[in-house]
Amino acid sequence: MNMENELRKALRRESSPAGFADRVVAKAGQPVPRPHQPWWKFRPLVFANAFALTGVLFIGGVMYQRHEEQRALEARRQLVTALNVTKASLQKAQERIRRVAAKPIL
Amino acid sequence: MKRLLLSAVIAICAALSAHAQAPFDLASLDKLEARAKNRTNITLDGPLLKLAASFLGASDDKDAAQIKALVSNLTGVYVRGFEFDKDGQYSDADLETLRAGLRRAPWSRIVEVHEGGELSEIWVAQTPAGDKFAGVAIIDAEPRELTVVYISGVISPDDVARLNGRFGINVDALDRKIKPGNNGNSNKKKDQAQ
Repeated sequence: MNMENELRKALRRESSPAGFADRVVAKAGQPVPRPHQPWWKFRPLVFANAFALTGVLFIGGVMYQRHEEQRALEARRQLVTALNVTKASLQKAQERIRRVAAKPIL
Repeated sequence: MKRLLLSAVIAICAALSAHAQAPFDLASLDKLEARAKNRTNITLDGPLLKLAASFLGASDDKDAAQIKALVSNLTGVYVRGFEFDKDGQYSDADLETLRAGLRRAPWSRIVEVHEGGELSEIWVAQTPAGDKFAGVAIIDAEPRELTVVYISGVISPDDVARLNGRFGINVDALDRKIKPGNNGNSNKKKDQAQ
């Protein structure tokens, strides 16, 4: 009997304190505060990102430098070829002048 | 005073543009590419020309230093060369567009030699001061070969003579010096025509 009374008392409907519903609704609208984590707690991730970025920049720099060097070598080859062609053309002109001048005038 | 200044600026701009612009359009020779067995097509201007000059060789190399000095005043070097299988693959009319541009001031022909079926023409544009050239154009025509060279920029008659190899710039020697360890390609750029 005693146990029955205690159970009834425990399961009895009780009204919530005044303003409880308003407080719950107000809380629900607020962002959940996240616990502040200092940056060093993410150190492995920070270091991994920095390492990857440095690697990308280094490889990119080396590739760009190689590309520019190839471009310069090709340009230089073309310049030397152009100078050789110019020289050959000038020499041909000189030869022709010499040959024409050497011909006897009738 | 302002009008005088404006006129001077316009005159200088006009003179500069006249010297900077090519006297002809080398694209007028493009149609010969299809008929050519071998062709050389070189266009070096602006930063690419400076880049090429900077890679010419060590600063203590005499030949390289001379060519660097020569190239430093140039604004462009253009070469169009064609080799044909047989005679008659191009005509004098194909060169008329070039000559029409060269007949205009400040260009003048200083060499014209006809020998058999061969022809050499050297045209120069003089600077306003008259002591140097603002450009040099060379037409070298043979029955099976046609070469057109156009050099723009300030170049002295001595530089032209140096290019001819008479005063010590030996381009072949320079080419031999820079070949090993670099590209090692053949000296003359000749693309096989399809």
